[in-house]
Amino acid sequence: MDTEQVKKIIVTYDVITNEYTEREATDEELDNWPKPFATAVIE
Amino acid sequence: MAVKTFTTGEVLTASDTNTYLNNGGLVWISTTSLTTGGSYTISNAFNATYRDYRVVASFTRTTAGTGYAYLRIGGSATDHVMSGQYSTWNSGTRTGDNGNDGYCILTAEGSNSFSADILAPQLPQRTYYTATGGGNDYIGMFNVKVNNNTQYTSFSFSLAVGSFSGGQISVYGYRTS
Repeated sequence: MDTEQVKKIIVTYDVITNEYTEREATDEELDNWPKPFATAVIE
Repeated sequence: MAVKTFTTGEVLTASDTNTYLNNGGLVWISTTSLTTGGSYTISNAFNATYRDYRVVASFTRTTAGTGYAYLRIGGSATDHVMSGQYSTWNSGTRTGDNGNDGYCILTAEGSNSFSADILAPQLPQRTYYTATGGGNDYIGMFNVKVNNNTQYTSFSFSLAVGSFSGGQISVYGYRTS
């Protein structure tokens, strides 16, 4: 499976209510999504 | 509170139970299942009860290839200033690593794990954390400074590659009194 094909789902778990919610990432969140290893800054 | 040694025949009082047995030094706060998607936000994980926290996670990940996993306390991704190092298993070569994204381990397809100490996230000062762990390909240690003085109650844990396919992440508080 190619990295780009993975659907970006964000799950939130609330410690107080013990509830899970699930949604697709927003465009802004996709812009800030973690970068793959090959493109990270390495020295 | 120091550890108390009980003697044979001694009465275990409600006070001693509450002091010594219900409140160890490390107190469990929550456990979240990591079963789907690529990012989890643990909401309301930090509060005024504890100053410092320990996070322990073990999980499986889909998709071939190496990818970072990111632990972000809050603010922008670039607020997370990182300095660390990693190596392949049983390798004498360690690679220095830095960035401004908050990554905490290098993950692989299959099983991965890490633990981290998060210091003072709920106070109006810099938050620091150190994470150690890895997957089948790499092991590493990453130190992160969250470069603002915001008080945080939540954190997120995200994959750069693949999706979560099982496992859990637990949060504990360090008791100080």
